Amino acid sequence: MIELPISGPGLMNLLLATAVAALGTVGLYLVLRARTFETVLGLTLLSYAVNLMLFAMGRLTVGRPPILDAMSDPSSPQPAMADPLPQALVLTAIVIGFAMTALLLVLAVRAHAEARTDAADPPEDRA
Amino acid sequence: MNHLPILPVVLPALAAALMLIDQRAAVQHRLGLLAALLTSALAILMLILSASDWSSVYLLGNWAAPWGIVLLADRLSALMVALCSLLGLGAVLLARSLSPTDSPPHLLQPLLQIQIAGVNGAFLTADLFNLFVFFEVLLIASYGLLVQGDGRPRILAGLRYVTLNLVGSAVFLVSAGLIYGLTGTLNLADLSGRFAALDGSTAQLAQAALGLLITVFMLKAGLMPLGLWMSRTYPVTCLPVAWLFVILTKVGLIGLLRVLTLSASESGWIASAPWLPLVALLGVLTLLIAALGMLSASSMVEMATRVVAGSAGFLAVGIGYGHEQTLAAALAYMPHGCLAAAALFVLAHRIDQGHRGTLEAIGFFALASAVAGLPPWSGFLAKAMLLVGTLAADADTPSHTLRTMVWLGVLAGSGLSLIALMRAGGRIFWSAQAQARRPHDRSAQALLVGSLLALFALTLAAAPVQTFAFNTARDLANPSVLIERMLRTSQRPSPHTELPDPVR
Repeated sequence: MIELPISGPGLMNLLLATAVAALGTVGLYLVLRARTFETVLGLTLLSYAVNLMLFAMGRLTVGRPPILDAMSDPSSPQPAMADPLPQALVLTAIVIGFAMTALLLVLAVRAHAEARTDAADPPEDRA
Repeated sequence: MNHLPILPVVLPALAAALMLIDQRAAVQHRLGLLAALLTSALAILMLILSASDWSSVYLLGNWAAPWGIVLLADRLSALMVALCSLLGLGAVLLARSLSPTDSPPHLLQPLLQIQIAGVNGAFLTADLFNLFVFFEVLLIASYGLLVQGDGRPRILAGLRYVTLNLVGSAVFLVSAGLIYGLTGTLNLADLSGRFAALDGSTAQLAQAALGLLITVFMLKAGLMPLGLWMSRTYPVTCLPVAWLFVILTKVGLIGLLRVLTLSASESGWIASAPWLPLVALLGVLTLLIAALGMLSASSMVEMATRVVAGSAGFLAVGIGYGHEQTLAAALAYMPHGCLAAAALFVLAHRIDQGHRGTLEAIGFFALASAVAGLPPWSGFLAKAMLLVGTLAADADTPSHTLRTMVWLGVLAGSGLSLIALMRAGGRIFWSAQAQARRPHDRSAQALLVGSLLALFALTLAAAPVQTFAFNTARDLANPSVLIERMLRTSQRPSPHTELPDPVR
């Protein structure tokens, strides 16, 4: 029997994990669709899922700055600071993901103009 | 000298930026040539230095190892940077003679430089997330390069290639995130000890993360179940791009090798990687399917693409077999594989354009025997080294089944590709003469001759190449020296600034 955490930090972890799972599943489903627009949407959702997951890898902390200051109490069970590294990673990943999505959209539009169809994998030799 | 490791990344990136300021074709070409020449010279200097036991750990932004990002210039990265820079130089030369209708010239040259910068960076970095960033740099350049010259086949191929690689990047990020969440570090040297310290379910999760990472590398390397994108991507690109893309699949394999050797436990990299036999098996599969693909290729460019896939398969076998000697065989094969495949692309483009002169015939004969791994060429030596290496590895490695499959795969792959090349040669050179559809391209001819001579030189220099490969494999199989070195390199004191006192 799995005991669901219904309060406290455990609940937040559960919610976040569920969000990552939902975004990832929907994203993967859309990526596998046959039309370019849905594929692009799917990739966007997939990168949201990945970014949330990356962020959570620094552990969830509430109300802590990402820097160690003199005020923090070493005996507290809460971590003294939020981990700044995943935040930097997520920022990089968001920027790269944005640029790539824009590029993919341009390619999708060009492919539509060339192939007269928005199929993600149009037949090679039809004029 | 202190800044040598960063220069092969910075120089091309700087040249690319300068090219965007003045977009005249002649200026861009001169700048590109200058940057490529300088980068190649520095890379060769690094290679020569590393052959005499030089290695360097470069702290980016002067932050010491587990906290900052480090670049590692050892034998492996020096070899790969030299190969990439030389191929880059060739691509710049080829790009010049591309007819203006084939490409809008103001984008090709800068993108080539960015590609070189990204690939060099990926070879040099020793940080997992930095590896991701350099992967994205080289990928975004390759997206642009792939569609150079436009046309329906290139756009459609680009669409598939970009989609596939975006999914790959997402998986890379998941894996890097998991590894950071479990170990708290992204530095490959620091990972080694921390991986070993994990136990129970966290260790299993770490292995799963490593598996995801290896999956991504296999996708980039074009290993078989994930490598189907190659046969629809490489044949449609224009010549300079195809020439430079030869190095792209190697990035995945070197990433794999780096992660497996540096991040594995101190007890040696072989024991800690349950994924290795899988890599070797998929390498065998790739070899066989590439050879069958060569038999069914309908043009020389397609055949050259399959040759690139097959050489990635061979390298994967050498790495995946997990023994110092097989690794040395893979490394000895590396320069031969890159050069032969790149030269084959030049030849293939010339043949597909209808040039069938004496140069093409001699080139075809030489390259066909080199690619199939026939005796005088260094590819043959490397294949023999691999097969002998599997025997030497008998005592402490995988099963006899794996060895049998490797022998069968390598030998059958070579035999099949020889048959395919013989058939193609007969069809091309003994049939009615085709008319050349395009005027002669001097730089392509020169590069073909140049790379044939380089292949010949590699064959003559078999002993130094082999020594270098063995030394590199020894470094990689005993990573503790490099790991120690990377974690111990401390910040350089700066003469200009004093660190301020911490604020009370």
